[in-house]
Amino acid sequence: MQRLVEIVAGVTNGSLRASVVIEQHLARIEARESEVHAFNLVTADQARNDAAKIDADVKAGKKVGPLAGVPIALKDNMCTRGIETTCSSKILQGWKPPYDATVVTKLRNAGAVIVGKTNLDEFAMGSSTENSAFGPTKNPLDLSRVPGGSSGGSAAAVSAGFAAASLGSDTGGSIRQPAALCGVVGVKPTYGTVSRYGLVAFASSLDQIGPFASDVRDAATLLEIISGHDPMDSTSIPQPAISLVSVLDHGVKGMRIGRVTDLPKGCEPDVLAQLEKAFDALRSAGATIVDVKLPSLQYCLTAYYLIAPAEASSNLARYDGVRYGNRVDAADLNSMYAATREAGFGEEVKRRIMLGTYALSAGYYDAYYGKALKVRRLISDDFARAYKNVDTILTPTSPSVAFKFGSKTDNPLAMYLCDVFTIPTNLAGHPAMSVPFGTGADSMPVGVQVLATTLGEQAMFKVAAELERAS
Amino acid sequence: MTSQLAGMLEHFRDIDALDLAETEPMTQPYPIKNVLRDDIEAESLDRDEVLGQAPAAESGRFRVPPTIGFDV
Repeated sequence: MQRLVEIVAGVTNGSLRASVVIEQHLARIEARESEVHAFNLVTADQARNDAAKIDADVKAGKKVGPLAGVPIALKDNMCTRGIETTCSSKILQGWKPPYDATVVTKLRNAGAVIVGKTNLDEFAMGSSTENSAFGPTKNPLDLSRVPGGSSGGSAAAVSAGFAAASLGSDTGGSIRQPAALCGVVGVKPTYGTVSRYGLVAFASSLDQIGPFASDVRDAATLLEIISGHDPMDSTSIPQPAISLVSVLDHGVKGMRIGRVTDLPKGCEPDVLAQLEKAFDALRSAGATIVDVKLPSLQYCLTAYYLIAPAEASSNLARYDGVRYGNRVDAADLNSMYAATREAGFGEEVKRRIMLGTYALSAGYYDAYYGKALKVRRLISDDFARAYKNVDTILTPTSPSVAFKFGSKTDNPLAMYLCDVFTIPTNLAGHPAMSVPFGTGADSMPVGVQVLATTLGEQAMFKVAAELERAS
Repeated sequence: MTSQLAGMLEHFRDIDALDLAETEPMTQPYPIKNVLRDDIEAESLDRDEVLGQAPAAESGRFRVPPTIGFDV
């Protein structure tokens, strides 16, 4: 399958037609989508039109954008004007947003061809894409296994060659964990790097959009284009996009890589073995491995699963059957609210709304939500101490390789533990990315996670590129 | 679901072991406050397009069931 950068080069110099590229990807979708179910919607007609326009521009000698002709899939929680955006929830089924998310505008301006909207756990709440109201996505590498979540459709779309790259959103690991389970690269940038305008909110202080790609260079290229300040997002960092592609060949000589000595238990031995090989590879390339302690890491799961549901319970109050989405009619307003939300939300969403409202309620606020916010501070302080001595930190992305369908659905806590290595980054607002590195049980891919401090994307990408060269 | 929620809340008591008396809460990654834009007129969403996506609309407004005259 062609890399993003090869497609751009070929389309731009006229040796490759965007229309041919899109037909190749649509053919792969036609062949395998019925078994993978990566998409909620494939926008084939619009994609063909957009590709034809790019070809016409190239032929006419017009300048085309830095993503000219690249087929890209979007997680179905990013607003696309006039194109259904569901968040894989019955409550939003049929809703066509009146505006584009900033990332969608940036992609279109860069010449990307949007191939469709990808499946997710309902409102991005889950780690396996089994919580979608429209049925699960399957892992293209083994259809009996989950692709991870919540951006399982976006990860599967790249893994199966349905798109050259895709976008996901990451609130507690929803880009990195599915990237690891599907054998692709997934990046959660620093909070505020990529605009959240038009991303349907789950937990606003944690949510961040980022790319999936087949390799590190493609991910860096795409991230450079979608990054940068956006006045439409008040949490957007007021500075231009960071240069990433320029550092990919710099190597890691002299860099200090952190090894967490108090990593939470429960990781599969095969995954830990790959992590050790990753440290060896970086050491061989001239980096120094430095032990670091993150004592608050063991409390991250609790902090996250109080803070994220608390924010979600507030954000999801807007789905009341009044302004958008679906309504269940009733005799009076309050009955209509209740009937609409009862019918429209799935079990996991209801669980988190209840958990969040409970954690925020008078009498329990201090014991749960208030305390969780203080734990968040401890975690942030732990990282700050660690990054005085290291440039990046390496951990597993997921404690296990892709697991079988249904193996964790009866036990929400077991499912939440899938995020144990990815959550700390979101709480701190830092960047992190997953890079495929070898295989584990049943020859399924393992992802190694590279973490860095706020706006430390260059160091993170240098290490990721080195790991890719070594794998 | 009730027993699942009870189990989760029990698990979440692990943070009770921490002494957090002197720790400041952290609500967001950066201390951003009052981000304002210049007071310049800008294009807003198209009213008909917005109302066209509502479950019920009438005369340029969202239509809802009665809000008074019922026990709430």
